[in-house]
Order: sequence, then C-alpha cells, then structure tokens
Amino acid sequence: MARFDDVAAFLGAIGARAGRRAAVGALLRLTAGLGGAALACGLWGARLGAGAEVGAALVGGAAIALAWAALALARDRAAAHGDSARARFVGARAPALASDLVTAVEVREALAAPLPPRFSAGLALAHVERTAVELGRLDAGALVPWRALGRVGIAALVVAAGWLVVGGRAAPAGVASAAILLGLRDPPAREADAPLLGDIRIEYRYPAYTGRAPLVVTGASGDLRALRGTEVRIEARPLRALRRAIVALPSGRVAAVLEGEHFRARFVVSLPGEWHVEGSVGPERLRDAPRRIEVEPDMPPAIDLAAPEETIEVTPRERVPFAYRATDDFGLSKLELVWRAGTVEKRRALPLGGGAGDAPREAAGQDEIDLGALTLEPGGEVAYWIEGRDNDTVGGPNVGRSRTFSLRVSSPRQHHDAALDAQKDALERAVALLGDRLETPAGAEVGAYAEIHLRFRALLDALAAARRRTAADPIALAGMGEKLSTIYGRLEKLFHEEDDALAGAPAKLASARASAQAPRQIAELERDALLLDDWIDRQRLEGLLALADDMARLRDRLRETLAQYAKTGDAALRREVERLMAELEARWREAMARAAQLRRQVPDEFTNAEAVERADVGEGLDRVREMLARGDVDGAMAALEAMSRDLDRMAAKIEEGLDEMRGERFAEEERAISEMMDKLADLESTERDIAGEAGESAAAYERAVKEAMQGRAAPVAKRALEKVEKLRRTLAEVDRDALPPFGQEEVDRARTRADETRRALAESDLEEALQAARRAEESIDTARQDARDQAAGDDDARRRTRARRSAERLADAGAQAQEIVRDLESAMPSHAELLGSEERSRLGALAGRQQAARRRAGELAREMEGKGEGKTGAAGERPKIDPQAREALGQASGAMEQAEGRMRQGEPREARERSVEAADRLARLRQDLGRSRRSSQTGDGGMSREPVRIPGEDQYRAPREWREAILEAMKEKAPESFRAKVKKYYEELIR
Amino acid sequence: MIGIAAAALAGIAAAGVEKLLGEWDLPAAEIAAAELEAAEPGAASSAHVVGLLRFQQGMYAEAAMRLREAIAGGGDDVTPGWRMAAALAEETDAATRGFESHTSDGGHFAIHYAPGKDALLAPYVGEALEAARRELERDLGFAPPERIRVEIYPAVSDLARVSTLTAEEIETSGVVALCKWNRLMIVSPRALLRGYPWLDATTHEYVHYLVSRMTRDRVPIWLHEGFAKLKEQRWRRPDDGRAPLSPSMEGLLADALRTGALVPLAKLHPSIAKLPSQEEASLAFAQVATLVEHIGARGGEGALRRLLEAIRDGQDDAQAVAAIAGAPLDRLVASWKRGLRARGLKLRARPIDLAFRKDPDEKGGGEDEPDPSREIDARARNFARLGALLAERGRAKAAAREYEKALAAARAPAPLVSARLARLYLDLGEPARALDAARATSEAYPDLAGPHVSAGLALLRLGRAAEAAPELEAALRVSPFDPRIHCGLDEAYRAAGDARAAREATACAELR
Repeated sequence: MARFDDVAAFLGAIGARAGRRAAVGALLRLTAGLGGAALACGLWGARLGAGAEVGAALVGGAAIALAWAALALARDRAAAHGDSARARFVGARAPALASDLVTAVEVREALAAPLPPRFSAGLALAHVERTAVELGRLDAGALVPWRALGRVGIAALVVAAGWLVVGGRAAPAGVASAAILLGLRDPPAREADAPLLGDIRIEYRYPAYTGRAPLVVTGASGDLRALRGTEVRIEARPLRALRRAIVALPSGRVAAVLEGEHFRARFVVSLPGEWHVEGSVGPERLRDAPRRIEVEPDMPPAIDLAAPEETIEVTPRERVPFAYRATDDFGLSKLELVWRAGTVEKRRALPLGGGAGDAPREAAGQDEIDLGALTLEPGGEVAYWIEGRDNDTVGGPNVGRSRTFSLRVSSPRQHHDAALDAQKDALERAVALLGDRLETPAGAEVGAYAEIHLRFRALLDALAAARRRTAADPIALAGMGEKLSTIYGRLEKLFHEEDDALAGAPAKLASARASAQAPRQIAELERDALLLDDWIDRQRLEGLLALADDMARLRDRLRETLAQYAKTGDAALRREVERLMAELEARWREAMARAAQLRRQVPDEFTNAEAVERADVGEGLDRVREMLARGDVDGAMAALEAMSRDLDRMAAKIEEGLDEMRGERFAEEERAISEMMDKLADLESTERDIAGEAGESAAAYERAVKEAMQGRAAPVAKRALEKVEKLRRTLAEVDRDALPPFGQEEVDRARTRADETRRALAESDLEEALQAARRAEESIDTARQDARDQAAGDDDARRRTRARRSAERLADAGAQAQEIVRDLESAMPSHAELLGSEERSRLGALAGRQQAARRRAGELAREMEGKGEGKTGAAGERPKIDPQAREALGQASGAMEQAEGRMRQGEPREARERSVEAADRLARLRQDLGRSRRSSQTGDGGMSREPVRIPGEDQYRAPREWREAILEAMKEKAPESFRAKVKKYYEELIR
Repeated sequence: MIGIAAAALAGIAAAGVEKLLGEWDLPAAEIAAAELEAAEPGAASSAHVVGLLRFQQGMYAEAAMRLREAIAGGGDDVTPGWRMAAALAEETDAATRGFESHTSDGGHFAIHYAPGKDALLAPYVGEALEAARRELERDLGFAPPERIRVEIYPAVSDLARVSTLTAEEIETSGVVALCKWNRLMIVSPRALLRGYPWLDATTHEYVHYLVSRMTRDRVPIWLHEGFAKLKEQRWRRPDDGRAPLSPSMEGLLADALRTGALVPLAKLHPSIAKLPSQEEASLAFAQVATLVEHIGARGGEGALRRLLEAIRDGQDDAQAVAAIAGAPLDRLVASWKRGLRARGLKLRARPIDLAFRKDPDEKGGGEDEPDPSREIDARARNFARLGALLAERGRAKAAAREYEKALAAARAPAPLVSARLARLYLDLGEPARALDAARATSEAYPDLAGPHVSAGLALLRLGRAAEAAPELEAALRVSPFDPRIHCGLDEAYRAAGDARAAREATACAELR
C-alpha cells in the first residue's frame, strides 16, 4: 500500500505546484490586462479630457482583462484538480508513463471500492510499485515549469513600467473618467458664453472678534474682499436653467441651492484666489466666469514705545520710565513689556484698560522698568520692547512689536574707575616725561628734544582724556576736573613755547633753546606729578571709605530688617535678610580686594589696610547665618552687633588714614577748610547770642501784651473760641484720605494748630493764639492747593470728586481761619504801643549787630567763592568749596536779613525765630562742610543702591517721621548729573 | 580639720614653688614641685605650680593642661592670676606649635623658630649668644649651666600673644625682644620694614637672663636695663666699660640734658616697653646704660660684678650702688649728669623709629620701604617723593637727581633718602659716589642696614673686599633677609679665604 501513497504524494505535489502557477499566472494576466487597459484609457483621457467614453473604454478593458485572467485560471486549476486529472497532466508531459500512471490511479480507486476488484490484486500492486519507481525518477519542477508564464509576465512588467513612467498623468484622468461614467462627479464644465448669474447680492458676516456689523453688497460684481473667517452669503438670479450648481472655491466646492429663480450659496473665506459657479444647463455643464477672492489682512498691533533714549546708561538699581501706545484694527488682547538680559527673557503684562474680557483697540500708559528687580551686573545690557497681541480668533493672534530700546547697565563706580585710570595714565606719562627731562643732558642733540616733545604731546592728550573722563565721573572729587584743567593749561603753554623753540630754527639753536626751557618744564612736571599722585591716592582712599560707608548703610538696613523679622517672623523679611547679607558680603570682599590693592599703591601710613582685613565681616556674617539657621534670631542680632563694631572700627581706621593723608598732602586745603569752619562756628555763636537777646525782647513783649490785654482778652478770646470751634468742625469734615500725602500732613498740621489756637484762647493768651491761627491758616492754604492739584490730576474719577470736595471744605476753613486772625489782630495793640522805647532801642541795637553778622556771612560767602582773603592751597589753587555750601550760607544770610528787618519793625518774636533759623543753618552748613571734604563715592554716587522696599500696597502711606527723614535726605547733595534721578527716586519713596 | 590643714599646707608649699620660679631657680622649683605633688597628688595648687613650672620649662601643652586642671579643681582658690596663666600657656602653645629648633654649637642655647625663612637666623643667634656667654662669664664670673630657650616669633602679634604686652605697646615702644619666664623672646627682623639690630637685641635679653639668674631677679628695672644695654654688644666688642650709644641715642641724651627732659628712673617700671614712644624708650636706654657705665667707672675694676653680687646677697639697689660707687644714688645721678655734660654729647642724628611691617610674609626685609620722604620737611619731601616715583618706574638716573635735590633742600639729616641715593648710585654703576653717600649715613645711623649694604657692595665693586666684610656684617646684624648682604659676604669672605663663605653662599642662593 505504501507505493499507492508514493504515487498519491507525487501527484499531490504536482497539483500544488500547478495550482500556484495558475494563481501567479492569473495575477500577471490581471496586471497586464487590467493595468494595460487602465493605462491606455488614462492616457487617452489625459490627452483628450476625461469623459464618459473614456470611462466606458476603461470599464470594458477591465472586464476583458478580468475575463481573460479568470478563464486562464480556471483552465489551469482544472488541469491540476484530482489524481486522475493530475495523472493525465503528468502523462501528457511524460508519455512513457502516461498509461501506467493512469492505471495506477484507477487500480487504487478499484481497490478502495467495496467490491472486490476484477483483476489480480498482486499484479496490480506490482504495477503500482513499478509505476512508483518510475515516478521517483521524474522531476516535478520540470513537469510544471514557471517559464510557461514567461510571456504574460513580460506583458505585466511592460504595463508596470508604463505606469511608473506615465501613471501620474494617466491615473487622475482615468479615475475621473470612471467617476463621470459612474455618475459620481460632473463632467467637465465648459465656460459659458454668457453669464450664468445675474443680480448678485453678497452678504459678509465678519468674525465675531472684529466687532464689525454684517455688510450687504447688492448688484455686486461677485468679487469678494473679506477677512479670513468671514462668512459670505451669495444670492443671485440664474440667467439660465441651471441644475446641480456648485460654487468652486480655492479651498473646495460648495453646493449651491437653486430654488426657482433663486440661486443661493454660503461659504467661509479662508484662502485668497478665485471662485466661480458651475452648473448643468441641459446636457451641458457650464462654468461661469471666475471672480476674485481677496483676503483682507488683520493687521498686528502697532506699538509706539517712548523711552528716554534708544540706549541709555543706567545704574543697577534705577527705575527707567517709559510710555507706550498700542493700537489694533480690531482689538488688543495682550500687551507685555519684554526685556532680555543675555539669554534670559522676561515679560510683564501691561494694562490694556477696559473691563475684563474687553479687547480695546487702543491702549496707552506709562510705566517703568525697575532694574532693582533684575539681577544686573555692571557692564551688561538689557534690551526691552513692548509686544502686543490682537484678538484674532480665526488665524490666531497677530503679534506686533515696538522698537527695541537698550539699557546699558553702568554705575558711577565704573565711570569713576575709568576717570581714575585716565588720571593714572596721565601721571605715568608725566613721571616718564620728567624722567626724560632729567636724564637729558644740557645741550643734547635736537633730535632728543624733538622726541621728548612728542611725548609731551602725548602727555597733553592723556591729560585731556583724564579731564574728559573726570567730567563724566559723577563721583569725582570736588575740584578734580578744574585741577586737571589748570595742569593742562600750564603744560600746554610750556608745550607751545617748546614748539616755537624747536620749529624752524637751526639744530644748534633749537637745541640751545629747548635746553634753556628744560628747568621750567622740570619744575612744572615735578609739581604736576606730585599733584596727580596726591589726588589719585586720595581718591583711592576715598573709594575704600565709600565702600565702608556702603557697608555701614547695608548693615543698618540689615539690622532693621532683622529686628522686623524678629518681631514678625515673616518669610519675606527672612529672604530680605539673606539678600542683604549676600550684598554686604560682596561689598566686604570688594573692600578686601581694594585694601590689598591700596597696600601696593598708597603709602602704608595712610592705608590702614589691615583694618579691613581685621574686620572679619565674613566670619561675622557666617555667625549671623548660623544663628538664623538655628532659629536663634536674638543670637543672630547679637552676632550682627559684634560684627557691626568691627565694621565701625574699620571705617574709623580708614577715615583716620585719610585724615592723615589730608593733613600731610593737602595741608593747606585742610587748613583753609578748618579756618572756614572756625569762622562759621564763630558766626553761629554770634547768631545764637543775637537770637538769645531777641528772645529776651520777645519775652518782654509778651509780658507787655499780657498786661495790655488784661481784662480785655477774655471777651475777645470767647468770641474767637466760637469761631475756632467752627473751624475745627470744618477741618474735621475734610476728607483727608482724598489728598496726596503732603496734603494729608498739612491737614493734620492745620488741625493741630487749630487745637493750639483753642488752647491759647482758653488761657486768654491772644498773642499765642494769633500765632497759632496764622500757622493754621498757612497749613490750610497749602492743603487746599494740594487738594486742588489732586482734583485736577487724579486718574480716578471718584478720587477726583473726593479731592474736589475736600478742596471746597478747605476753602471754607481758610476763610474761617482768616477771620480769626483778623479778629485777633484787630484786638491786639500795635507793636509800637506795646514795646517801650527802651525795648525799641534795644531791638535797634540788636538789628545793628545782626547787620554786622550778616556782613560777616557775606564776606565768608565771598571767601568761599574764592574772592575773599582766604589762603590758597599747596599748589597755589584755592581750596574748592562746594557750591551748595555757598548756597546754604546765602540762605543763612537771608534769614539774618529777615531777622534784622523784623528787629527794625519791632517784632522780636519773629526776629528771634529768624535768628534761630540762621544759626541752625550755619550749624548744618558747618557739618556739611566737614562732610564735603570727602567725595560722594558711595556706590551710586550718593544715591543708595539699595532699593527701598515699600511694604504693602500702593495705598501705603509712609509714616510722617520717615517721610520727613527722606525730605531731609533730599536736601543732601547728589552729583549734578544724578540730581534729577535722585529727586525722582525720593519722590517715589514718599508717594 | 585634717583635710583643711593639709590643703593649707599644700597652698604654702605651692607658694614656695612660685617664689622659686620668681627667683629664676628652676632646679629648686622642680624639686619642690615634685615633692608637693607627691605629698598632695590631686591638689589644685599642686597642679597649678606644676603647670607654671612646665610653662617655664617650655612644655607649653602640658603646662596648659595642668593649669586648666588646677582651675577645674581649684574651687575658691582659683584667682584671676590662675586663669591668666592658663590662657597664656594656651596662647604660647598655639603660637609656638610646629616650631623647629636649633641648638647652638656650644650647646647652651636651644633656638626655636617658625619653619621657613626664620631658620636662617638660628645659627647667627647661636653664635652671638655663645660669644656673649663666654665674654660675660669673663666679666661677671657667672654663666648659666642650663640650656637656655630662645624663641623667635614671625610677627609682632605673636610676641604679644606670648607675653603680657599688647601689639600696640610693642609698636609704640619699639620693644621687640623680651626676657621672661626663663626664656629669651625676639621678633623676627622680617616683621619690620627695615629690620632692627636683632642680634644685639638677643644678647641684650641674654644679659637680662644672666642678671636675673645671678641675682634671683632682685635687680630693679633701671639697673637691669642699664646692665643689658651696657653689655649687649659684648659679644662683638671688647669691654671698654663704655655704653654703646648710637649717634641718635647720643643726640637724644644731649637734647634731654639740655632741656631737662630726662626720663625719671621710676617711670621705667614695670617695663621700658610701657613707655609712650620709641624715642622715649631709646632715651631711657641711653640714660640707664650711661648711668651703669658711670657706676662701673666709679667702682673700679669688677664693680659691676660686685654690685650684682651685693644685690643677690640681699642689699637693695640704693645700698648696693652706694657701697660700690661710694656715693648715694642721688649724688651719683648728679655726678652722672655732670659727667655727661662734660662729655660734650652732640646731636648728630635723629632717631628713626622702627617701622613694622603689616604682613611679615609680604617682603623679605631690607631697606625697600615705600617712601623715605616722611623724615624730612615738606620741600625736601616733595623731591624725595618724586625720586621714589621715578625709581619705582626704573628711572634710576632721574630718581637720583631728585634725591640729590631732596638732600640739598633738607634742613636736617635725611638718612633714608641718602640710603636710597646710595643704592641708586650703585644701580647706576657709580660705586665711589655710592660709597660716599652710604658712609655719610651709616656713621650717623649704624642701625640702618641700607647704607651698610650699599657701602659694602660699593667696596666690593671697588675691589676692597676686606673693608666690605665689616659693612656687610653690620647690615646683616640689622636686616638678615636681604640677599645682597649674603651674596656680598660670600664674595668678601671668599676673597679673604674665610670658611663662612659657604654659609653665606647658601643663604644668598636661598634668598634670591
């Protein structure tokens, strides 16, 4: 039986192989037939246009191809189906076995039948065995060869290659043709000879964000202009019997609605281009003439930024103001101030105005960049601009950007260092030139003098540069620039003389002339080199001292903040403490570095550099940190105090060194200033004596007033009291909070003075009451002015109204106070009546002394201006006195003049007040003069680098004492170029 | 009761040890302390005196430990003095920790110093002290048998740490060496801008040591200082009985005699270091040295030795002086003043204060202080400043012209300017002029190293090596860290065939 299985297996293998070949053959036929037909039709369509006929041809061709493939497959599969067919298939290819194989298949079937076979089973089996042996010699591959598919395969390859080459053209046309044949799309339209539509009406419905009302255009040409996102509704009258009309747009097709005489279509504009209408008219497909679609742009916001200059130099703590105005065609959704320092970019939203959700078309405002909030290193640059976004919700917000401005972060210290470097350069050149002069023997070759002359020129250039740099140095020592100019002038004169000596003369003569000039030049260079050296050393020391001052200020702030933190435990204060400590530490490191430098640059006896090193501020701060980390705030404060003592010692030592230097190198100047201060002290003492005597007269006057008013005062006081009560009520009605801070203070002051008036009247002291009432009147007047200003200038309408009402109430109060003053004045006897002849003559004599004192003040002022008989400095220059000091002396002098006038008018009280004022001014001037010996080399030229952080919100009102301290500080000198900034800065603080 | 009595006895015994220490009798103090400890092993007073003993023996760490132990266990017995002693021991231990040491060739001195540059000083110190020991034994008939501890501190602040003086007192008085607690203490000359006569100062302190040991420290301060000043140069000078007065000291004395501004002897107590200025300290030294010289001259041969012995044996200073000099002290002082007046002292030089360096490691010592102009009046000072400005910039020739002008304008001697000028002449290759300028200064200001260096180097360049050596040695005695001195000495010694050339060559190479 085994042989039967061999035969069956052989035939099975033949059948499987033949089946595979049939399948591949069918695939190839399909490829060749179907692909060929599609390619041919596609090419036809592409050449002549897609259409139904092409589609029909395509479908026909496809059907033929399918039929061909199917028939061939059926044929091939039938040949390989069943053992008998396979036996015949084999027999046809191996004729020698044809009969045997068929017989073997039949024998097997017969043996498998239920009836016994009609032949000898043994013989039959022998036959089968022999046939199986013969089959084993046959190669199934040779019986079913693949090469039979050769021709159809080649045809398929040709077709595939054709598709590769021209398939891109043929396919769309073929597909389109098929779609048209199947009715899936319209056949191509032909441009109509006449318009298809008339009476076109277009309605634009703009996107909501634009806020535009819908727009209807009748009798339109059909050309469209709309914003992206605009809904367009077209209505028209068909001029032909249209069916199946569509609107073709750059973005696709939209079906139109045709109802009787009405054509309607609706679409949203998204792309620019053309649109047209297509429709079937009878059997024809017609296309109307194309019309334009123009997309109207939504412009980005236009932003104007107004700032001080395109690039300005600022200090690291400065606030830089700017103003802006942004407009947009439809609305602004966001405005941001953007600034970039290095790679770091930051943004801050700016107010748009309007309510929440509003998108105003315009926004404008003023603001400022607080550089203190950024961490900026000197020398760095910050670019800033304003970026605005509109409210376009269709294409996304459009972004507009202002011009870019830059801030170059500088510091007065940098300018100062640059000036100092330039001065050092001048010194080096002066010393080198002096060396040249000293080392050149008399009667040297003219060439040697010419060479030195060139170096002389270079020295002048260096001096000019130093002068320029010094002029730009906001913390230069007073008079430094003038000194450089003087040196320059003297040397320039010598230079020109030498120029003349060397020019045009024979060599020997020129050499002799130059040689003759050498002694004068040497003397001048010696003098100038020493002067420059003195001033440079002094500035170095002053720089170190300024750092110590900076540190002391930081220490004070740290102390205050730490105390606040101890009370409140506020985390923000803790952070501030950390920041201040870091800043203090940085200053200390800088001081150490400068002290080390000074040791090399300035004679040892002046530097006291070891005082800086011994200060141990770093360790002190570490101890503070350690205590804070342990939560021991009291311990931290104690550690800070210990460090503080070190710091004070350090500053004192540096100051000591500086004093020593001033005493030695600037002895004349020091002496002149000391003399000036002595004279001021004398004058102050005289003025206090005068004030004292005026006070005695005032006391006598008051006694006289009391006597004169005895019995008369009570009824006057009673009447006045009623008016004062009324005044107090009026003042109580004033809405204090509607006023600016100064105005509020004045209201408080007016209320206090009204109270004082009442008290004085209660005691029947009319003179005192009169004075208090006058002061109240003054305060009311000032407050009223403030209220008016506020009413005129406040942005907030409600606050404006409140301020206006306050101004009205203050006007009432002013009138009432005036009346009280008038009443009291009329009730009082005149000064002449009250002062006896003795007192009058005493006041007259005092006025004479006051006049003499005033003349002394005038003389002193002239000395300060360099016109008096004061002594000159070491190099012949008069010591420089700060113009502000001269101004202050002028103010003291003015007060003296007023005092003198009051004395002559027999008004001792006022005279005393003015004299006291003059004496106080002189005292302050003396202190200022003492301070003025030092330059204002604090970190930012007298302006604290520390941002003063105002706690709370905008409504915060600084305590009165604090603001008064600030007002006092405002009076202190700031370098000219920084004065405006300082003023603004202080105004900010008290706002 | 027994306990209280034992404690009281221990206290008495401890006081005895302290007394022995006060009398500089360390061997006896050691025995007494050992006995006390054996008798009262845990007593605080024992620990205290043992601590004091260890401190004087130079065993600072142990001393500090014992003194602290004493304070811990001392209860009511603890006095502020105990605490001060403990603190001093701790400070001294800290200040000298890591010190290296060198024993002098004779073995009588152990010199301790901070590692580094100061190692250079030790052999010179050893030589000077051995020489002083030898000479003074001859003069006074006594030489301490023990090895004496010498400590060299790198900075003034270190001397302040290990003594009862403050840094300010040291800088004010110029006292940079001390003899106390059984040891000699000096500040390294590198702590001073121009150096100072450090070898004479060391032997000066040795004289104090010797006198204290000889007399059980019973000599009053004026006599102590007079002796020390009189004998401080004995190591390098024969005994002529005359006080070694520098011209500036002579000038101070002359001035004081003229104006009657002599320092009262009582003002010297407790220490010359407490005087308010270097000038006054110099004057005091000049006074007491010449006074002792006067006593010696009046007492004849061996008078000073007899004076010390008399005080040792219990006489007070007035008695002893009267006995030796044959007149009571007040008359003696009067005759001393007369003698001085008769000597015709002259104001030849103004003293120059010692200038202390802020950072001892900053520079190597020598005459390179930044500005010599402060010693003169304003006009001359300006020229000197210009000279300095030019010299700093390498303009030697021009600088010399300015210094010349400064000297011409100066109304008083200007040794620092002269020294600078001499140096500049050397730089300019003008040794003869350098020698003239240097000698003009070095005679009046022997304690300034610069002129000696310039003179020595000039002499070498002029081929006069034999004369150069004494100049350079004089410079070395003031400013030992200037390499030019050692290089010059190397050259001079080699020319003379002196074996010391090798040591100088090494120092020259190391310092350069």
